[in-house]
Amino acid sequence: MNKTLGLRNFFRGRKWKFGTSWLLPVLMLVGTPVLAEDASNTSTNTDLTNLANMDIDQLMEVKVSILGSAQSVSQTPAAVSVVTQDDIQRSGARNIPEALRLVPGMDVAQVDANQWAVSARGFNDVFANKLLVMQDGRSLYTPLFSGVFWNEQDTMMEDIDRIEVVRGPGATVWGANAMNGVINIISKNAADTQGLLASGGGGNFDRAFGEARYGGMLGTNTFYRVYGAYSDNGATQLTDGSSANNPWQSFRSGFRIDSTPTEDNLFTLQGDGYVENIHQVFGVFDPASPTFTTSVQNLETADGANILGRWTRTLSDTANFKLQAYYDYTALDAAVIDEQRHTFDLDFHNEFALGERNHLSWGLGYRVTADQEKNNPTLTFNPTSETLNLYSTFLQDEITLVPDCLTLTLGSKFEHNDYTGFEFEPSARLLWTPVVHQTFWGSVSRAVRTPSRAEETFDLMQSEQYAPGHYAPVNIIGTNSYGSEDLIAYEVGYRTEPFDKLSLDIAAYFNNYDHLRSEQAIDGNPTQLAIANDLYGNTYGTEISATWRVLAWWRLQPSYTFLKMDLHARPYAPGLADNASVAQLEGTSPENQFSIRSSMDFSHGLSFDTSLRYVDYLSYFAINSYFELDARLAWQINKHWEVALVGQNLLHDAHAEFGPTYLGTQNGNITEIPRSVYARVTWRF
Amino acid sequence: MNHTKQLDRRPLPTAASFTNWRRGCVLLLALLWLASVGQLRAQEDKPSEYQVKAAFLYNFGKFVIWPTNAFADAYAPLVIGVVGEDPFHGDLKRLVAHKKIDGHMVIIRTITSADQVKGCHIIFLSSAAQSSPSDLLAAVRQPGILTVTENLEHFTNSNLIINFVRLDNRIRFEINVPTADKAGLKISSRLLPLSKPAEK
Repeated sequence: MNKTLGLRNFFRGRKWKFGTSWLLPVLMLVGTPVLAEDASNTSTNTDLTNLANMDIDQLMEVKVSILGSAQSVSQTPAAVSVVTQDDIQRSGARNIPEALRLVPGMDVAQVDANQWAVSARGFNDVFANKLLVMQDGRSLYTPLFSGVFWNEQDTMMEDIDRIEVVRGPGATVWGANAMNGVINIISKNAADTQGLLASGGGGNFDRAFGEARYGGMLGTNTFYRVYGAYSDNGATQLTDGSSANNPWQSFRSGFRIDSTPTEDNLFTLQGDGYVENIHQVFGVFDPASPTFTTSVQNLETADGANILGRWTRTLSDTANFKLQAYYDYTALDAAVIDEQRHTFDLDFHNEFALGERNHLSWGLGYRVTADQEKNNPTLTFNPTSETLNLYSTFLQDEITLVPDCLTLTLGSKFEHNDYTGFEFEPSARLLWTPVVHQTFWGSVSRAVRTPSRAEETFDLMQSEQYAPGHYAPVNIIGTNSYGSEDLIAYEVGYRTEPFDKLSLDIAAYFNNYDHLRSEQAIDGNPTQLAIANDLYGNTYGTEISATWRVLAWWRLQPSYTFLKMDLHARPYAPGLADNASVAQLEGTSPENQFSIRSSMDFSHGLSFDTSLRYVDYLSYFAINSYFELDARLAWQINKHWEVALVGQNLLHDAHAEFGPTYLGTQNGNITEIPRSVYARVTWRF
Repeated sequence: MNHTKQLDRRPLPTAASFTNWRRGCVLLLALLWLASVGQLRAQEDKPSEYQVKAAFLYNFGKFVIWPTNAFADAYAPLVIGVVGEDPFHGDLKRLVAHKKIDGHMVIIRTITSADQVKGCHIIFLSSAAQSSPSDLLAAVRQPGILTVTENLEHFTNSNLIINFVRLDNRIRFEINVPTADKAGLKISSRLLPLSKPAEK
């Protein structure tokens, strides 16, 4: 036993040198009932009509809420940030992960040319599985492992209205997987994207890109837009400076139609499709090889399409409902995974005032996802095809205890999934605004992460080097006894505007996790591992951010994030505990992150933005802490033309941010992100 | 494959200490909820700050007389320019849809550069837009344009005409009459008494 334990620890103490595992994470099909998304244009069409018909004397007496306005964030009892279109444009971000770097507290690491690791409050990985990510109400993470293939998620960056991010659990409304955060990417109403926009450019890393969008009208109250975007992206490099041979191209196209036939009805129909060619190097399991692995240069293809319809009806000043349905198809064909997936989702959401002090919201959701996996020597599924159902409902009440001062929000999600049955996710949140510009909030909430398809049904072969030159084949299997991961989160926050030109946002949390994913050696055999729930522990940390309008033309936004993870492995047999998973989880998220963004506007349409970030050491990959700098100089020549020059990661020729974990990309080698510069021309008409 | 799964919830040191506290919290919250539901009275949800400001902007149009050359003819639209990112999230556009002021259709224009200012009758400069490029800020201060801003500290010396302020969760506004005169705008005597005097 001691011997095998030693062998196992030796295995797990190293990087996953040759493996290709796909493990993990979980699944969950969330019912995404509340799509914060159209909060601004749905809840209030009747309000607007009333307002429009009021005369000035009446308007003077209208009390305003803070919801739906710029101040809504300061009145939310959670750690919320909003990235606006302006922020995205000024940052020079060319994809969604880069835009997420703008959110205080997010941990965004580029792994290689086409993979990103994105998380909040720890547990980062390419297969990070504790975030719920949505685009216009459509879930973006794959039920395969409960994580997001970030390279497959994109849109025309100019058509994003804003990205709303909640750090911490949002499970009461959004359901399982909304454990450490919720990301909601919200695109503009078609009425706000009228006319022609064409943009293109290129550089050394973002080799060439071009996109075009046209928006017009279909009748008096119906607007539409169509877009197409292409990009050709360069390769990252290995530590010896050679190319990692992982360049990729993507093409996507889509449309959105918004119609308001009457003032209290809004209909939205939107859809996208994409095709990607991705060059990638994989370590593929090979029983005939002495190292049990063969390096394969693979041309992956990824494609997908989705269509979504939504009806938002305003019933009265205080009540509305929303009915949404979507269908989503994704396909991925790579050396170690070949999957096709169809998902259909139906959601209903309703809210109304109950008496003077209660604002109730509730929802119903159903999702079905069906997949078809093709087995390969590395990864097999049993069964190869599975259909999973998720039923969910939630109820939430926002209670005004003291008007304009103290608000309590209570609620819970209840859902049923095919793997673990019923789950409930309650929360209580208190918001206290003792004086204007001073807001305190606190919350206690429970969230779960339900098992993913992989964690329940996969069978993975990989090679591990247990001594120099000595390799062993290791088999990891998913099991149907694997259960949900649990979290009880305690959060507090404070927001203030001490001066007119300064706003400050502080959030702190203590998270208590149990039943986190681990691996158990079956019968003590370290080459036969089964997925289990043996890890537990706490994480705590704080996120501080500020906006300082130094001068009318100069804004500074510093932020600091601290994270401490204290996880443990519960012994599953005498003398056996999965301490290796603990070391991995604790070693893949930075303890300290710091960033400062400066935004300057000059005359003649010139603007200059810089962003400096610091990311702490990652022990699991032995990646040293680093500083990096991005800069953008833009000139709005006139209302039609804009040119911009963007530099990213300017401080190093190349630097590493993250490494491969389960998926054996680059045969387990870390790749480095090069310094990059690109130029872009945009024409609007 | 006879591995056993351990779902026994071994209480963590920290979790244990929270148990009683948790139970107390749940009870307290339940009581608060019951107490609040007891008060059933019709409530009106409040519109957002910018929805109300949108309604004000539309209303201002009715109380201002522009110089005769401000409109090409009786059918020319009244143009409201919004500088920079739209703080109304489209609500201003929706609010003025199908509305007319003195027979003029109302249209909304997004202003991102100085050359788009020409032809506007009302221009709204949100807090965020107050840090726009200086040539744009200069361009909006021209005769014939009713400039409206918000939460501006030194409003009197700003050469802008109307400033929204928030008072007791209501939207109020102050008017800079000398600047309006200089701009050739006649503001109705009905509007003036409603405004909070601009502080000297």
